[in-house]
Order: sequence, then C-alpha cells, then structure tokens
Amino acid sequence: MGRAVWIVTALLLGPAGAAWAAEAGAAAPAAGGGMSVATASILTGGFAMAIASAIAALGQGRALGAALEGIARQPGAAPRLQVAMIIGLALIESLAIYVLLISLIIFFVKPFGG
Amino acid sequence: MRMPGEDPSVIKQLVRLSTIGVALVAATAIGLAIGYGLDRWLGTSPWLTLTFLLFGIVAGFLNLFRDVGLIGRHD
Amino acid sequence: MTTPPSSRGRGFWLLLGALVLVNLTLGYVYAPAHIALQHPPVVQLPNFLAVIGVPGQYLPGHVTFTWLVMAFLVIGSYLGTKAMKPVPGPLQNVAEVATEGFVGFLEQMIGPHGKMALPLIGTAGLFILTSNLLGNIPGFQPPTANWNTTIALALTVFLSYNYFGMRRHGVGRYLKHFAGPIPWLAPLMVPIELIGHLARPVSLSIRLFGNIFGEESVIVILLSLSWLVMPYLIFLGVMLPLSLFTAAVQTFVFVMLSTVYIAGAGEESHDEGH
Repeated sequence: MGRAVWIVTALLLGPAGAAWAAEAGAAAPAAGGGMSVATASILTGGFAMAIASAIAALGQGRALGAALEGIARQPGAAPRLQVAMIIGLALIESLAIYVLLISLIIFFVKPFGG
Repeated sequence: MRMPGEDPSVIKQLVRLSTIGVALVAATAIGLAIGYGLDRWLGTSPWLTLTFLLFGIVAGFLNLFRDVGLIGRHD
Repeated sequence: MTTPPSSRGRGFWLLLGALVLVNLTLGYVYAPAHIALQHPPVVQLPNFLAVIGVPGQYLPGHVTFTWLVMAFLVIGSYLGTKAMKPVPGPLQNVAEVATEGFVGFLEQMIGPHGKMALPLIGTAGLFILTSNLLGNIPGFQPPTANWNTTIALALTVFLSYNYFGMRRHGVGRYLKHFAGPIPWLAPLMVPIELIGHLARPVSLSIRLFGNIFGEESVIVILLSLSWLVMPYLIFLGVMLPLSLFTAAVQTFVFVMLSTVYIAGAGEESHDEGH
C-alpha cells in the first residue's frame, strides 16, 4: 500500500516536473537576454511579499512561543505578558505590512509599467 | 479606559490584534502621502515629505502604545 | 427555549445546504460566472446615468450590487416591522434579535446613551454583512470588494464619531483634545494627532476591502484553473466556509472598531477635572 502511494505520486509528479523544466528552459534565454523593468518589478513585488510573510511568520512564532512558555510557567503574570506579546506581534506584523504596501504600489499604481 | 493588560474577551483581543499592525502602517503611509502631496503643491521637496513621514511614524507608534494601554490618553 | 433541539438551528443548515447545492449546480455550469470580478456579473444595469457623464455602457458592478443590498435590507426591514405582533413571526423575530443585539452591544461599549449611534452602527453592520455574504452566490459580486464602498463607510464613521464627540463636548473643547497634554507642544502634536486620527478610516476601509477582495481574488484564481474537479472541491471545502467566516468576522471587526471610536470620542471628559 505504501509503495503504491509512492509510485502513484511519482507518476503524477513526473510530467509536472517535465513541464516545469521546459518552461524554465524557455524562460531562461528571455530572462538572461533582457527582462523589461516592468516584468522585473512584478516579479519583485510577488517575491517580496512571499519572503516578508515567511520571515515575519517565523518571528511571530518565536515571540508567541516565548510568551506562551512564560505564561505556562507563571500564570499570574499572564496580563503583563499578554501586553508585551501583543506589542511585539504588532511591530513584527507592521514590517510585513510595509512590504505589502510596496507590493500593492507595484501592482496597482504601476510606477514602472507592468 | 482600560488598565494595561486587563483581560478583555478573546474576541476583543483578536480585534485589537488585527487592528494595530495595520494602524501603524496606515499612519506612516498617510504621513508620507500628506508630505508628498504638500511637497508637490508647494515645491519644497524633499523636506516636507520627510517631516510628515516622521510625523506619521510618531503618530503610528503613539496610537500603538495608546491602544495597548502603555500610555494613557492624557499624560 | 421551547423549540425542540432537533429543529433548532435547522434553518442555518438548510441555508448552508442550499448555498452548497446552488454552487454545485450553477457553479458547475457557470464556473466563469463566479469570476464576477473579471467577467461581467450576472446582474447588470444599463448606464442610465450617462447623461451626468458616467462612462461605460453598464453601471459599475459595485454600484449595482450596492443598490441590490439596499433594496434587500429596506424590503426586509419593512416586512419585518409591518404588522408587529406580541408573539413575533419569523421575520419580526430576526429584526428583533438584530436590534436587541446591536443595542446591547452599543450600551455595553458606549454607555447609557449608546442608542444614539444605533442607526449608524446597525445599518453599517447589516450592510457590510449582507454585502460580504453576497459574493458567495455565483455571478454576484460583493460591493465591499471595491475600495470605494469601504472608504465611503469608513469616512461616514469617521465624520460621525467626530460629530458625536463635538456634540457631547462642544466643538472647542473637542478640538482642544488634539493639542495634547502640554500646551506649548501643540504645533507638534496637532499634525501627529491628525495623522493618527486619519489613520483610522484608512485602516478600517483597507482592512475590509483587503479581506473581501482577497477572498474573491483567491476564488477567481482557483476557479479559473482549467476545469478539473480538484480546484472546485477545494473551493467548496475550503474557500466557501472561509468566505462565510470572513464575512462575519470582518463585519464584527468593523462594527466593534467603529463603536470603540465613538466611545473614545465621547469619554474624554472624565480626566479633564473641570
């Protein structure tokens, strides 16, 4: 049963991988040759938000984990810890939202074309 | 209105959490927008932009601390 | 509660089942119709305002659907309060529950004179809830998925809470709160306070707009994948419940924040000391 799952997964992902390779091969000459500023700005906008969200989520996870550990250790200190945790989460989140602002400007105000 | 860390219901905390991140950025963005607009109108680039950007950042942080309860409304 | 447990909440499940069924049938046939933000929605009014200078052949989608929501709410509330009986019928019951809920919430947050904000907060809440939920019907487009609608709501709330504050404290004293605690810092504090106050309608509108528009966008992209069963099942199993949940949560967040702003504008007198 387990081996059957692996075989089916490989069969399903095989053509997908081939399609990815073909597409990357077609895109490489175009990318190396000269991507327009508009294309580059769109790629940047998308990737920036992805990276910012990922790292912000990691940071918030650590802050939350530390706060929860503190509360578990000393439930009486929970209100003070909650306040500090909320401030920390908001500040980290605001960093990701700054990046969202830039991405939205790139996508909708289109200062570089695109 | 509320002491720092007083425990409101879960929903109210969720609401507060989902607000203050955006409020910080919104204040900064509004400061930047006002500064940029005034600069284009009065032509004193880039000083007004930077000044209002600073105002926006300070306003954002002020609202953040007021909302969490670290700073009272009038102190 | 005299209703037997087996029939309590049955209406909710019936509605949900109807929505899923409509999506299964209509959605299969009209999958592009869900992509109402990029394709024309099902209901479109011809542009009879072209004389004033409104461009385009049809009125914009969010205008049409705002009018649809308005018609629904007006007709619904008229029917709910038409012949009021001591033992209410279903529609009157819904109206009573909604009103009591709002009044209780307002009086809890603002205080005894909280009912003055009931028309604003109640209407805003019902409008936003209905608008958000409208997007789940194939071919309909939620009017709150457009920044114009949400910023209209947010600006109304902004002007209203300032008006309530001025009505309660007088114009001069209310404006003096913008100057901050130390008098000679006033030229510095006024722009800062102003920016902080302006950030409220912006954040209110962008939060509502971003959530509903993002929801719609994800559904659009999910359903515009080539017509396999899997994206549609993901839509039914994940996006549809998420969309219903987000509709309710965003309504609650908007209503709660508006109430907090109104309460904050009205309560600043207790630490003045005179």
